Amino acid sequence: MLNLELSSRDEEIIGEAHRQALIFRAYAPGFDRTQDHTISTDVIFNVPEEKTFPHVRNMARAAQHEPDVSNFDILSSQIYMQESWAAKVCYFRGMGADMLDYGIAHKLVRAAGSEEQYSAWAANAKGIAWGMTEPGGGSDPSAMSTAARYDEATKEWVINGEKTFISFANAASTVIVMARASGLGLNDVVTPFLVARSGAPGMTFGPQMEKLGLRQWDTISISLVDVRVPDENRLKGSLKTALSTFNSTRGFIGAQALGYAKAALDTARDALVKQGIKIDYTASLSERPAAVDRFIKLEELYESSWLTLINAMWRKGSTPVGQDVYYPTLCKIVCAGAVRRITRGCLDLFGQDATSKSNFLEQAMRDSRILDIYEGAGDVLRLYIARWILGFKKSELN
Amino acid sequence: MISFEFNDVQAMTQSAARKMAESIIRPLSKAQSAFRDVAYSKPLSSDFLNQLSSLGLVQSIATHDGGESASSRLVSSLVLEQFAWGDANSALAIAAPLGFVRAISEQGSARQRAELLPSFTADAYQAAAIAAAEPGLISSGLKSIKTEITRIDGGYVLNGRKALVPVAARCSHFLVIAREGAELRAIIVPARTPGVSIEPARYTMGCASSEMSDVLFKDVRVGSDALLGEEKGCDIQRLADGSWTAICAILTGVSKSAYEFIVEYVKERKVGGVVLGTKQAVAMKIVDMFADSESMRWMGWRAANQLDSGGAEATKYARLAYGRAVDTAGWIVDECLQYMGGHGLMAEYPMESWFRNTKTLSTLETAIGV
Repeated sequence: MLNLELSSRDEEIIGEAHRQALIFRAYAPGFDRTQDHTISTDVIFNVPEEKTFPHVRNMARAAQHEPDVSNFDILSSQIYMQESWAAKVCYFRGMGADMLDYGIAHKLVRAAGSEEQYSAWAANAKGIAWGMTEPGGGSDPSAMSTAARYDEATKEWVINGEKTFISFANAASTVIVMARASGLGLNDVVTPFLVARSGAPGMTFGPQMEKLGLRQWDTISISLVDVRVPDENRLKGSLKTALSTFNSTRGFIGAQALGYAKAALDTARDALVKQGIKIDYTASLSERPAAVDRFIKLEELYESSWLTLINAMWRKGSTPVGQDVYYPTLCKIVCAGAVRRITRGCLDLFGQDATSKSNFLEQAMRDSRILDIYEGAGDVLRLYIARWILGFKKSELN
Repeated sequence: MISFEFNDVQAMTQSAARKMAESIIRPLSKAQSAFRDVAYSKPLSSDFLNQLSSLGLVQSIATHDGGESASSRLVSSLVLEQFAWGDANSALAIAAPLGFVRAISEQGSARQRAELLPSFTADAYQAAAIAAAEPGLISSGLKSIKTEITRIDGGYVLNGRKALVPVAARCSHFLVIAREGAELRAIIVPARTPGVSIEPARYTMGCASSEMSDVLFKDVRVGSDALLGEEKGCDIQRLADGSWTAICAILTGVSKSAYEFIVEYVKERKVGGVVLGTKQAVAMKIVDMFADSESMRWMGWRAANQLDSGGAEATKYARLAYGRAVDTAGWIVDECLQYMGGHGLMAEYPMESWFRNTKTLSTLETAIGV
């Protein structure tokens, strides 16, 4: 039976996420600064109240046996929306943490590595960082120049290159480095290598990159000069297969985007109402102040995006893992595209103090800007969807 | 819980509507949507309207008594979208009496329901329409209408001009939105009442086969029992909400026609020796057309469900669905036409008619229902 409304039980669970979000929101301005690792390598910002928080996604999972509860992916997406609504600081906090899971490096080891490799490197690891992007190419993996050459004499791979935009490296004990491997039967094949931080003198971490938004998010470049690792460190599974499982997580980036979008709309709505400007949906165009018209247009965009999100999440719940690569991707394209316009558009409704630091909305705009870029830039992802719709191969449409 | 899965009634009705759209509406669409100032265009025939009527949508509402309709607004939306995919005029032909019958069924007094609904239960097509719009800017809305009623002994006198009522000449009744002083009222007026004159159909850019006419009301006398709901009054905003939801469904159908057509077109068409669809600028927008035509449909469904369930924010969702549909359908058909180059302008292809129909549909506001 077609129903596009969250149930009251859904709202109860999401309400707990919202309660936590309100507490995190208060810390948001404090998180809006680049970490200084000369002071401390402990990158976990302390939110004391967090120790008392129930694990909301576990609540959502436990509720799945109840009669009128939306599927776990739908609920997770709404919980993640609350996180970004709060500009909740995002950093890897272990597998199963109650938040949008940035442990994708762990998942890569699971997907492309052996049981032994997973046990040795991932199962108990404090953190694993993943180096794929390079200064010369992010969306274009064929531009990768980091190389791994097999040294027959020492039976080691020798890795040279530079990776950039690496997340959470300072909390990591291991970095997965993607390099073009030549040797041992491989001929210039993009391959993941596990590199332990300790005992890799040629691997140097750069300073924190100062950024427009998500400033607290650990982001650095890493350079590799003659870093030597044994073949046991090479992940030997199909990289293509491993990477394809991450398509389904892409939809949750859409949820992240809509959380910021909702924050923007909520902030703007409150401000309009506080100033005595009525948002009247029955009013004709000439009765509608321009500010209200703009606001309603942004609400239209938000609603169409939200429906795209829950459709992707509903499908995910009824589709085998890895089978549906298109709708999660479409969801990210739509939602991450929408948040750009919604944050900008809402800010336009405010006066000269719109971008002052006392307005959470300015942080929301800066923090959310990455969303249409990382995990597949919207433009590149559109080509991917276009090939599906039009039935073209990559060589035909690129 | 959230689900996009249809129940049996929803699935079967959509399927039946689609079959009708493919087999009888599409083949006639060129004649239906031709521009009227050329001799070869044709209005919808009675035979054709009877075939549309045989799906039973309006009848399913008219046969239910006591306010709760057999046919949900979601089911209506599914039908209107599929009919519109066939041709917009077919959707309008059903959506006009749908608006009237829904209003009587849901908001009419017991006497009004008993008197009026039976004539809409037959297999044959029976037209009626809400008459709300007046000449002038759409930006003015219902609150600035001039048609008015004044109280007289035993009833009211109605005076005014309503603009471009769909299938007006076929209507047995109009539900006229008029002001009584500062208040808005809905008055049931049989078409044959002295003083009601239906002018010749005015040609509109699109949907000309829907034969939209101005209807003049000059000193039309009606009884006090002509007010929708009688002494209980009625919720006029709810009529607008229903119309907005219907327009969203119809614009979705037209958008999907254009989108599906252009996907096939750009796969075949070559420009400079290269298949048009392999150009990034073209391919990227097609992705947005796909995403936006899907989500506009869901917005209409959400509004339909909210109206059915008495949701507190039904008006908001209906208005958002309508606003989004107008913008989305507008840019989709415009962009699709662009990709066809000169062929986009030629009546030989359906795109120019979808372009015209979309614009006229966008002006409807309170003319139809769901």
